[in-house]
Amino acid sequence: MTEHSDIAVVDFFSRLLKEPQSSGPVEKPKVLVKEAELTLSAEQVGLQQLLSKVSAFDEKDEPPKEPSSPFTSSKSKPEIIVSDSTAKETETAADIGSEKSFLHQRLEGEFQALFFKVAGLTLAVPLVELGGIIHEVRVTHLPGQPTWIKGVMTHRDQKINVVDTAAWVMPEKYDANLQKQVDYRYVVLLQNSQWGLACEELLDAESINKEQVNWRVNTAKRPWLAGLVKKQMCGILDVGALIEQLSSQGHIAG
Amino acid sequence: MKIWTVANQKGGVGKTTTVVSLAGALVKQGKRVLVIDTDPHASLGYYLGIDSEEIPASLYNLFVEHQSLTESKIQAHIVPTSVDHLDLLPAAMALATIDRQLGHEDGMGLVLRNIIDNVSSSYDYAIIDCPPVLGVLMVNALAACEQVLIPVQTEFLALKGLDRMIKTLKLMDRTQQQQHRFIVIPTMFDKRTKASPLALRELQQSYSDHLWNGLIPIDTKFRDASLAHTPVSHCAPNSRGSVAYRRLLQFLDSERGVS
Repeated sequence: MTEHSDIAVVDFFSRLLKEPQSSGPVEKPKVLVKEAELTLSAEQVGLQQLLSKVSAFDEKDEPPKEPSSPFTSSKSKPEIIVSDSTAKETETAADIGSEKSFLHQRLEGEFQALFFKVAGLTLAVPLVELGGIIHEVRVTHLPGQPTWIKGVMTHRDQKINVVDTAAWVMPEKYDANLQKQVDYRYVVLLQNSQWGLACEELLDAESINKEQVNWRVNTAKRPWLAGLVKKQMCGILDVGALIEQLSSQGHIAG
Repeated sequence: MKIWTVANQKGGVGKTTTVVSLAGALVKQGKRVLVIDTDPHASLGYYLGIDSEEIPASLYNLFVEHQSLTESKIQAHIVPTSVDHLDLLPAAMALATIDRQLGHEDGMGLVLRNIIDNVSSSYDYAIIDCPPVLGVLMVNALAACEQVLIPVQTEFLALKGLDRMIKTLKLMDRTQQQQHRFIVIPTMFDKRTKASPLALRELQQSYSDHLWNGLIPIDTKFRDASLAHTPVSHCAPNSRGSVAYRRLLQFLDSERGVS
């Protein structure tokens, strides 16, 4: 460590080891905010197949004709798709997203990511963009909300809108049968927003080097999908972009 | 109550095995032991046959609710293991988010100390398993303990990790204006290789003041013990590994070990 980094470490220690003077409420950490949404399919295909599919999407102004769902596509191979509902919003999200930095620009060379699973789909979220994890999904369903909102719950005195992630990412595949199978056990909180993604399984938290991700260059059509983690063969989410799209479609301030 | 933290910024050096083996040796002596897992990978729980994702609450919840901790709330998060007098405060993967969630708050390095203070009358020993990453959790583990045990695999790459760990301890001492007591424990010693004796010699030359004068050998019984989800002291009490940890315990409980 250099003298400079020593000072940073000592500063870090000083803050953490400061004896509390009062037990009043503590200011919440600040958030970086970004926006948009997500979707991708998941059985494990060859990496090249998956990557070329993404590249092909990115190279065109218009996305290829989307299958109604990743699971009902006429092609048998899995692919990254945008759900009908989200596609409607992509222009708005893209417009906003173009003024923001890309996820790979915000991350350090090496960063930690949490991998989680929903309905057979693995997704990764950089820990720096994560607000926390709730170990239960106890929601109250409110009438009049989009079907992809599972409900609301209170966490640390804050209202959290819990996204039915499977319904959001694969709306047409998400029939009553799949709905019965999906067993949500956790909520992955997105930054300090009012949004959380319901998920079934937390897989691991791992360090990733930026070079281990195939970053998408043109994210105009799918700002939420920052890239693909090569080793785990899964999408990595731009949480800020996701929040913006959820807020926009859920008509709720994120 | 004695509080030991087992730490090294390099992974795979035998931290969890050291925690469980020392805990096993202690309960064999009739002590009441609490082991605390601060590593989001939750290997300590898995070792003891407890799947952290299957239990309703963990250390994570206590961190999140750190402003309203009570003894009964903490006790509700502690789970018994299959070994008598050995309890676990389990980790959960959500702990990986603690740095981002709470790393900005003053005093967040003292939460674990507060937790242990609250249950100190129930145990004779607390042994803390640390993640290999310098962050809020490691700072908590170091701030809470009286003594740091640093297992070091007897190979050269691991020695590099030891330098880093000791540097971290010194920086922390500078902040806290205190001196951490630490003991370096050579682990996974394999006399059949060239690397192990060489690394041990290097340790003796560079860290003689802090080096335990014994070693933990490679022993397949450790693997058997982890498969059986019990400490090696219970699974193979006469094995080389078990005997080595008993010696280490003797040393730690002696004057030399605590000075």
